[in-house]
Amino acid sequence: MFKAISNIFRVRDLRRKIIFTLLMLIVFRIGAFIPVPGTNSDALEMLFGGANAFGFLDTFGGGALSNFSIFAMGIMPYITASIVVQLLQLDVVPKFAEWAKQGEAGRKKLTQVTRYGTIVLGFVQAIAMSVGFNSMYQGAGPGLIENPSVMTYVYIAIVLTAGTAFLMWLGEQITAHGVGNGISLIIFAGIAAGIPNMLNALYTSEIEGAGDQLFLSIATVALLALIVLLIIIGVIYVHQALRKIPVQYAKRVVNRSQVGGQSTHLPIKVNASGVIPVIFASALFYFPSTIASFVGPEDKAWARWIVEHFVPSSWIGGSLFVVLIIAFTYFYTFVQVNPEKMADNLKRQGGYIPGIRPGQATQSFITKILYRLTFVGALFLATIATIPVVFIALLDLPQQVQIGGTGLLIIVGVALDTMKQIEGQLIKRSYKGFIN
Amino acid sequence: MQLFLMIALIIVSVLLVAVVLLQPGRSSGLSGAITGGAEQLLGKQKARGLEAVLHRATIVLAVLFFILTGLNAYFL
Repeated sequence: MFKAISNIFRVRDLRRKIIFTLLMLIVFRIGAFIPVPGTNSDALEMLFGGANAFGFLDTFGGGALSNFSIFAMGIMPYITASIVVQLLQLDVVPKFAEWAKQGEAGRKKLTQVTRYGTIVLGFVQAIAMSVGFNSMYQGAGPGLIENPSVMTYVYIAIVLTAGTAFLMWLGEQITAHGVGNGISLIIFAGIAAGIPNMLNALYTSEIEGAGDQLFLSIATVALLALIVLLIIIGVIYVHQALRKIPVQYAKRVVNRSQVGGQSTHLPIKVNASGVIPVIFASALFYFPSTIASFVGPEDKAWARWIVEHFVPSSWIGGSLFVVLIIAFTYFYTFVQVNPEKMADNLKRQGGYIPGIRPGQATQSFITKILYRLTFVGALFLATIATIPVVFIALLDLPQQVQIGGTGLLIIVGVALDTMKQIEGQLIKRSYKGFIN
Repeated sequence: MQLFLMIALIIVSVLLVAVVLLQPGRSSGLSGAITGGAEQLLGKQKARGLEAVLHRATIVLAVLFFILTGLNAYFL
């Protein structure tokens, strides 16, 4: 392990890439502390730390939203734009579907559409966020925006959109000149930046405020550490888990030489949809309570009911959240892995699954396997997403303590992906890596 | 002074967005950690010609953006 780490820094090119990546992430972290001019970020403090949409979004930015910094929106508009463009490729917009089939040239066009979409979504989101947050404080002391006017809102929106555009560019630079996927690493850095804060909150509530029950508090923290370790092991296990479907290729004679005839396998991941279903489900789940918060739960009974019940800690909210995660896992898995396209590709390449006829029968077989695997993946995602809520309630922990959940899924996933890339670079230079 | 800084920040912000959009997207989107899909490795070629100019312009504008935002936050 330590030898592999020393090998990384022995390779000049790899060392340069890692240093570049770290420097770019430092730039991102600096930006998270530069406040948007003309705003009063102290007004936001009471909103964060709770199990709501704001706390969820703040997790991704590493406190950038609670500081109302220039990176307050983080890379979220890019994620949204990416998902929207990906969904529009499913014959919703014929042009997008056509580009998706064009290979590299089409991919470039789709990337450009995603980038433009990010800016448009970012600008709209920035205005909505500024107006929404400010309206929550009318008559409750100083608001978020010091001099609210149309011009001020547009000014703030332009600054926030520029922040998102810069982050998008930063991510692209990391992908091009650093290690790993830039956008993912920015999200990773945002989540990881919240860990010291979480540990501090845990220390303050459990150790400092323990009094006579110090032993019990230490036992609670130890139990918590064990749970986190088990979650990490579980996430790694499921992230790497594959179902290998055997595939046989028919022998063909091409230019007087025999090709094909070899047997291989079709790898299908247990969790083929990654963490997107949790992000989707969270966005949809927290939407009513966010709107209700903006409307004002103090005055209206329906808004109060929504704010109280649309939280994962309530029975209604928790059940709905799990159902949404499972539904989105199925939906997004079939977006990512298309059984029809798989069966068609196999047929065209002269491949078949032993005992299954090519074409429709193969498609049905892959679909059946995908349904079973997705059920396991969906349960896994739902469990991981609800673990923090259960343990915060059971152990009576402060809201800042987030064990498991979306954050841990992303952290472990990005770490594994980046490690695999570094591994590839090391093996290419005939060094032993982490895995082999 | 305050108005000048505000206008300067708006101009720099708009230019930063424009310059970022003018560059061809090099990102391979979201990696498998987020979307679950397999990540494709891109050719890490160096920027040439107009792309190199835009790349440098982005760096300059980003530095100005950080400085002006800090100054605006201080003066406003």
